[in-house]
Amino acid sequence: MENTPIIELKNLKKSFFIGNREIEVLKGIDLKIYKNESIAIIGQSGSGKTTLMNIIGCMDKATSGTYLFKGKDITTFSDDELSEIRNESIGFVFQQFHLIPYINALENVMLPTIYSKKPLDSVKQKAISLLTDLGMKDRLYNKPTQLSGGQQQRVAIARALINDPEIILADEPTGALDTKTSSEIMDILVSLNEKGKTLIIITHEVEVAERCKKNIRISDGKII
Amino acid sequence: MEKLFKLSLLNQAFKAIISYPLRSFFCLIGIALGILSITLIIASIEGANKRALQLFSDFGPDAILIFSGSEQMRSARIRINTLTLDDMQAIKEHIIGCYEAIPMIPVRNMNVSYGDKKWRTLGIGSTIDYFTSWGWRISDGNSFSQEDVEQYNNVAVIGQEIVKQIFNGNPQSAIGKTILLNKKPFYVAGVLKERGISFGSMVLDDRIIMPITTAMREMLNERKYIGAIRARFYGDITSRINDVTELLRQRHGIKGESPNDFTIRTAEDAKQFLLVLQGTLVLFLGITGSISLIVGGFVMANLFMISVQERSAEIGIRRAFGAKKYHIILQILFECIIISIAGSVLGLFLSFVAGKLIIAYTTIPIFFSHKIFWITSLVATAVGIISGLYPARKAASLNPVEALFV
Ligand SMILES: Nc1ncnc2c1ncn2[C@@H]1O[C@H](COP(=O)(O)OP(=O)(O)OP(=O)(O)O)[C@@H](O)[C@H]1O
Ligand SMILES: [Mg+2]
Repeated sequence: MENTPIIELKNLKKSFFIGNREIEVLKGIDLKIYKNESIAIIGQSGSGKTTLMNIIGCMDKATSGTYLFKGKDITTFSDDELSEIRNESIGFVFQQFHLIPYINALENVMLPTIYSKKPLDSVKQKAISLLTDLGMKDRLYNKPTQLSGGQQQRVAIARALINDPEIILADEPTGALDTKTSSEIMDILVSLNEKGKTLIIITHEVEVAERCKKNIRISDGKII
Repeated sequence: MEKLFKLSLLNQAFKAIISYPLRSFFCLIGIALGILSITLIIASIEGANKRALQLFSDFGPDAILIFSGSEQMRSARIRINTLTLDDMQAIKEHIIGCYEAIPMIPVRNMNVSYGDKKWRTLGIGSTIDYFTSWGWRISDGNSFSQEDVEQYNNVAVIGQEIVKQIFNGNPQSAIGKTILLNKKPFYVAGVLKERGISFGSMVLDDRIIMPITTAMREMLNERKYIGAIRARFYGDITSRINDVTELLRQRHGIKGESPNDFTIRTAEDAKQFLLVLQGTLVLFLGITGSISLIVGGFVMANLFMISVQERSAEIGIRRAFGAKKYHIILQILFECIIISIAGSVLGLFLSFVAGKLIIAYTTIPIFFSHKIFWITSLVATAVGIISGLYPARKAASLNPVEALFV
């Protein structure tokens, strides 16, 4: 059991169709990610990083190949089953933060719990303590537009953590932030990995990639 | 647990509604106007029914009215007088179960004047039983007396509309005054209690009652014929109508297949007349109301389609964090239903205001019952669901990746 990867991709391919023209973006990815790893996926713009992350995050389906999640083949899972995996096991952190504009920081953090089957007791306490740990104690009731980029990303990280997922999946989490804030956000993500989360970061910044234990380079739809 | 989760979806819906005020406002107004018209329709139907019932009991379920002239003549508006006081006497004496019969003769377009005040009204000649028979009390002063009937005295009991037009709405000031009816002086003995009902274009309170003898001799120069007879019976009304028909045909020498030269009306007919009158109105209002509600629903469906497009990132975010398709559908539906119900509350409020105005300025009967509340709530919820369904499904079917990254 100890050797079962949390994520295993076998000969995974993904094509997009523009009209009737097929564009193959992922051309056979083989990848194993184990529990508590910290991995940076790097590569040039357009190399297929986001496409890969969407598939790893169960937001999108591969055109062919196999995806084993905790040893289970989820290639044929239904939309609802994939939603449950996202809800329970994956915490997304996006480059553009992607907070919902009309609810405040605290409500944004609690958002994933609306859709979870787990008991909802003390969700609010947990959200407050997550935000407090990230230095957002005084900003609980601010709307996203009343927060700086770094603060919004902290809210997004707290949201990714609220349902205790095993995996944190971050696509260019520092892409919209200045150098100082970037390193603060990276400190937070690295410390989460130290506390046991599996961390997958997509980036093209060397500083970010260097802080992960393992780097995977993707080029022209393949891991090299 | 399950409950908490539903509540949180509702909560999200509430927040979205407040956060998109313009969209919510226009949807709300659309639904409110639809509900306003639906409510007024129901209220006027119920008002009409109530009035029909009122009319039925005012007329008296045990009473009939016999008019001079056949059915065909009446519908052609040809007026001839065929009934006599002797006919009335005969009905009273020969029809079993008849406990009351009163004669009536109309004095149409009668001119009323007092000082410089002038009015035109309907005069009715009858006996002292007129008031008890119709259950119409005298609010001020007295009826004319049996003596007045016997001696052709010029004595009148006037309706509230006359008081309003001639005596500035003060009934006490009318008592004992002498008014001119078709230039003949009449003593005002009493004032009729307000009835408040109108029957088509006829306002019941706009009339003056006088002794039948006075009406016939002084006003109409009529020796023999009267306009109508009102009679009341014990027992089965239908067989009494047959008895009366037979008696009058015999007295008028009508034989075989020849048509009656008189027409009999019952309370049922009076009610029917009002319901038919409302029927066309109801149809018109029903179509209008349905159209405005459909338009309201259509406005809402379209605004939500636009909204769903604008909020695709939000939908993508919710999907990324585990929302299933039905969660998205439910949230959008909740938004529509909440707006619809709020719209129906607003529409209901507006209709109360409109109802008050209609009652104050027209003769259209309006009646609000608790039934209206339930019907409009139900209709509003249905409209919310129907107009929300398409946008909601559209939102749920968005590809989460594309929704997030557009
Ligand atoms: N939905 C789509 N339809 C068609 N082509 C797509 C779609 N999504 C991505 N692509 C194409 O796939 C390729 C890889 O895109 P992807 O977003 O994965 O790149 P990336 O490595 O994340 O780039 P960046 O560093 O700029 O974010 C690009 O050429 C892109 O145009
Ligand atoms: Mg990308």
